[in-house]
Amino acid sequence: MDPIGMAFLGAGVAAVGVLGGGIGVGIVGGKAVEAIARQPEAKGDIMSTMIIGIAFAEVTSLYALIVSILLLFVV
Amino acid sequence: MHISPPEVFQFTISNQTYSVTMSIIMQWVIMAVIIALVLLLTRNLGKIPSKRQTVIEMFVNMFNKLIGENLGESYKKRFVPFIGTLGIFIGFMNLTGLIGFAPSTRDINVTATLAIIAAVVINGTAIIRNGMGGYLHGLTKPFAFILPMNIIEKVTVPLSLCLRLFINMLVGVIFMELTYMALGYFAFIIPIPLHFFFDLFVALIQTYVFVMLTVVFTKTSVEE
Repeated sequence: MDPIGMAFLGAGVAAVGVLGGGIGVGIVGGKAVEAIARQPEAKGDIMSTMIIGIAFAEVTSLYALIVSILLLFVV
Repeated sequence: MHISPPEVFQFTISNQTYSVTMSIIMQWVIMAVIIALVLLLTRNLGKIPSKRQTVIEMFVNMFNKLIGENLGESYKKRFVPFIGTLGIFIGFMNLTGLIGFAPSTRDINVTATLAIIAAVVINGTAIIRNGMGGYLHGLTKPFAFILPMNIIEKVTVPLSLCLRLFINMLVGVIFMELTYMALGYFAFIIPIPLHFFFDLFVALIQTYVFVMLTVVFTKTSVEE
């Protein structure tokens, strides 16, 4: 077994964790669109809350991505 | 391929070698640019605003509104200068990808420093507003059991602020380098939308997110 090859394989497996963040961001964006469609005058408030929600959902997938990047470039 | 910024020069003080990297040089340049812009744009302000002054006032009012709506009127005097400086500085650092230099914020040392500054402000505001006793009492809410969790939260908040900005910018840098590597001499039109997305859209969104999260965390830590 080649250790470099195994590290690359691990990087690929770690990047699967990005899936969860994508689903989370999709749900946040979809619900925000529903809320704006129901109440268009509250668009500004909904948008800023949405961006905060996306930031929280996104960071979990970024942790998976950092593991992948570390395996690719540092190990 | 390298993910750490290139080193420009080194100097040694009492057997300790310090290396100055590209991200520090870019920060110096950005500081000089901001100082020059501020001095140029705020010359002869008047009661009746000129075109230039109207734009500056819109910009300042944006930060005034952000603090006033999210934190409250009593925070305006202390927080608008700090949050405004933070936002402008991070914004300039993220946007340097547009002129061909990798953003300084793809260096984890830069974002870690920014996150430590944010953490000091978040906890310092809570201590000033509630007093030391109130701050320590707030750690044991809702019940004393949860004290370790609250202490861990004090560490994870700046950690997540730091990693969020760092990873988002690093992914942009890596993706652009891979694109240019794959295209070779034929890199004409294809990189333009990618530059637009990574160096403009993501950069501005991440600036907004960093500033906004600092404000939100300050608010929650004061209310605890």
